[in-house]
Amino acid sequence: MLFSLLVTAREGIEIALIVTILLGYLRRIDQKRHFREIWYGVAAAAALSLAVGAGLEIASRELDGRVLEAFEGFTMLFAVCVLTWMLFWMKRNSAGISTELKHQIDVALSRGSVAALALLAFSSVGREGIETTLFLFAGSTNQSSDGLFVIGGILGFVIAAAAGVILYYGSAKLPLRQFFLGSAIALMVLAAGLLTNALTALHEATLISELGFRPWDSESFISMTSTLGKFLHTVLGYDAAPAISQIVLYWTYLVVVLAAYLLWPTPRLPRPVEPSSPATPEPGVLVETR
Amino acid sequence: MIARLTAPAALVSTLVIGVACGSSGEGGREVPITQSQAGCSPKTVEATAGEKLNLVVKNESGKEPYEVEGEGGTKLEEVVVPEGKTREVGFDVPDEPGTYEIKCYVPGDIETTIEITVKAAGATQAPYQSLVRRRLT
Repeated sequence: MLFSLLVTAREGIEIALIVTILLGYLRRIDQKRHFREIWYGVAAAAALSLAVGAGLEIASRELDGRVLEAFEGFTMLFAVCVLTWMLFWMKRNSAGISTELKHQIDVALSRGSVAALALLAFSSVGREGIETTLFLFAGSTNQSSDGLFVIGGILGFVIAAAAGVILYYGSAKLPLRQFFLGSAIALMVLAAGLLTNALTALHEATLISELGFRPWDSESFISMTSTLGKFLHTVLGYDAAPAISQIVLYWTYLVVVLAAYLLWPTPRLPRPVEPSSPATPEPGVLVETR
Repeated sequence: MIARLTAPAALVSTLVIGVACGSSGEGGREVPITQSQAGCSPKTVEATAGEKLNLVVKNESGKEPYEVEGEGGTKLEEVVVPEGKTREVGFDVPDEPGTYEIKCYVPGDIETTIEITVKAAGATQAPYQSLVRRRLT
């Protein structure tokens, strides 16, 4: 539940920010009649994400045995890569997103193309949506309870939608910067767990023949089949008797990625590749994040 | 058994325990299972309908991942037993008498099936069945 909640809250707030920027800008330049195209784009993006999710789910139900384990293992590895890349990309580019999106709205409107507006909403929201689907699927393969997983996911989206409404009406200043930092660290811990779970899956798929010795066994302390054990397995990649390769991989990933993320300097100015964007970022919602 | 007399209470407590401890094997009848190079033993386990079993699975094969998992609709989650370790798995025996299969295997290497033979829960069902049989003949 915590896993799905964290993923949908984080990704949902990213989506909320994008939609808020698009709608807020249209409102400011008095083009509220184009709200409809934005919502069409968002709806199409949601449909695409659901379709991708259904595809992954159907694929995993068709498969079984070693092929299924391999499929799950590679999906988890892929999710870890996308997740890590996404966090660094957001950190690097969050300051420029707002101006970039506004610029693209200007281009679409000047061409008189309403389809381009819908496409802009579709592509920027669709990317986040597919990321969400991928992470949720990767995390769902070892869930203790399907019901709680779904509830967590819905709850995350509700939080994100509420944040979106608050941002749009500007009724309160949200601690977005803290939220993005906190959720980034939490997602990295989840990703490290996914990484060790991916090794287990690939080991079961016989793609990795040997994981190395297992230094300890805490099964009698926290059983892998208990609710707590399953919860910790999903969130932290808990294994009662982890193999040395899993321990090394877990801590290497966590230390290296966390250190890189925290020490990586945040660019203050928008990227120089944007000749049309103003030298200083506008005081948009995303600017406050970094 | 006492459980039948207090069926509603048992159901409630099972639900509570189920929520609190998940499917950890605590409380059921212990059934030791040994995983070796030659496969898993015993190959058959006798059980009573509705009973709770605690499968104590020991991996002595020198190989891994050695797994146990329900097969053909048997509701037993996949549990991986690392080399040299013991894992306890709870199994709720179905209420329907019959044979239920549990796969006990090392992927692509060792493959055995443990059969759980489930008999009707004695006293209450036997007279009913004999009564039915008498009427039919």
